[in-house]
Amino acid sequence: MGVALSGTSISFFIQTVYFINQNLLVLGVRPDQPQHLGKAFLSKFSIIMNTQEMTRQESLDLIAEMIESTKHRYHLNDGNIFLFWGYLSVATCLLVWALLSLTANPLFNLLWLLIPIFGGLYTVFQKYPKKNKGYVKTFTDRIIGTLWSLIGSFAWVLLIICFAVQFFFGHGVWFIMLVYAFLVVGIGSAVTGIVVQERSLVVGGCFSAIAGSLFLIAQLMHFPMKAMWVVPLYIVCFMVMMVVPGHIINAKARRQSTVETGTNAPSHAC
Amino acid sequence: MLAELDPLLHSQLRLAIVSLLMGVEEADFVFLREKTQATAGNLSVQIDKLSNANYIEVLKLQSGKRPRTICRMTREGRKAFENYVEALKSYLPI
Repeated sequence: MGVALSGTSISFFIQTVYFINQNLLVLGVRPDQPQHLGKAFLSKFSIIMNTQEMTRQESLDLIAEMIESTKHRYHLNDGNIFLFWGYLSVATCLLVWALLSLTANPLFNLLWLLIPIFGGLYTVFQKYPKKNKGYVKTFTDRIIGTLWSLIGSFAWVLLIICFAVQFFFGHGVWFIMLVYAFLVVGIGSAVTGIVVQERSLVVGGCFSAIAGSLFLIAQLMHFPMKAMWVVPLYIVCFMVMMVVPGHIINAKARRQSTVETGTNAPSHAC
Repeated sequence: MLAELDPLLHSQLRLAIVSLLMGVEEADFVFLREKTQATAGNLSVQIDKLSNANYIEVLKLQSGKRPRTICRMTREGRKAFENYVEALKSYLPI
C-alpha cells in the first residue's frame, strides 16, 4: 500500500514537472530561470486578466471596456434609501398624529425625532454593501451624498433653532420644520432626479416643493394649521417624492439586472 | 518621436485597475475583482505594485466584522494614466 502510494506520488510529481516545463517552453520561458515562473504561470493560467503585456490596440480596447463597464454607475443602483426614508416619514407622521389625537399631549411631537435618528442610522449602515457585494463611489454618488448631507445638516440646524426659540422666547415655530420637509427635501429629491435622470424624483420633488410653498403662504396668511389637511398633505408629499420613485428605481434596477445577466435572478433591490 | 509607454501601466490587469478607477471616485477590492475577473491573489499583487508607485491610494477599512480595501487614484496616478493614453495616441492613428 505504502509502496503503491509512493509510486503514485512520484508519478504525479513527474507528470507535474513535465507539464510545467511544457507550458514554460510554450511561453518561451526557460525552466532554468525560476524568476520567470510567477509571470509565466499568470499569463498562461489567469482566465481573463493577467499581467501580460499587450499591443497598443489591446491597451485602448481594454481602457474602453473598463470605462464602459462603469458607465451604468451614473444611475442609481436601487431606490431602497428613498423607500426607507419615505416609509419612515409616513409611518412616523401617522404615529404622531394618532398619539396626539388620542392623548392631546404635545410631548408626543418629540417622536418626529425618530425620522432623523433611524434614517441617519440606516444611511450610515447602507453606505457599504453587504458581504461579497462590490462597493464603488462615482462622481454622481459624491454629488448626491454631499447634497443630502447638506440637507440633513440643515434639518439639525433648524431643529436647534426651533428648540432655542421655544426655550428662550416661548414661541413655537415648529411649522418651519414642515416647510423644510416639503420644500427643502422636495428640492433635494428634484435635484437628485435631475442628476440621475430619474423623472419620477423630479416630478415628486417639484410637487412637494410647490406644496411646501403653498403651506408657507397659508401660514403667512394665518390659515389654521389642522391635522385634517396637514397630515394627508405630508403623507402624499412623501409618497410622491420618495416612495413612488423608490419603487420605480427598484423596478428599473431589476429590469437592468435581468438584461445584464440574461436571467431572472433576483436583484439586490427590494 | 514615439513616446515611451509606462511599463507599470502597460500590463493588462494593472491597466484594467487604473482604467476602472479613473472612471469612479473610489472602488473596493470586490468591485475590482468582479470587473476584472482576476484572482484575488493576482489582483492583490497588482494593487500593491500600483500603490507602491503611488499611482493609487489604498485604504483598509473595517466594514462590520470584515475588512474592506478601498482603492482610489492619486493625482500622480491620474497624470501617469493621461500620459500613458497620450503615448498610445502617438503610436496609433487616432
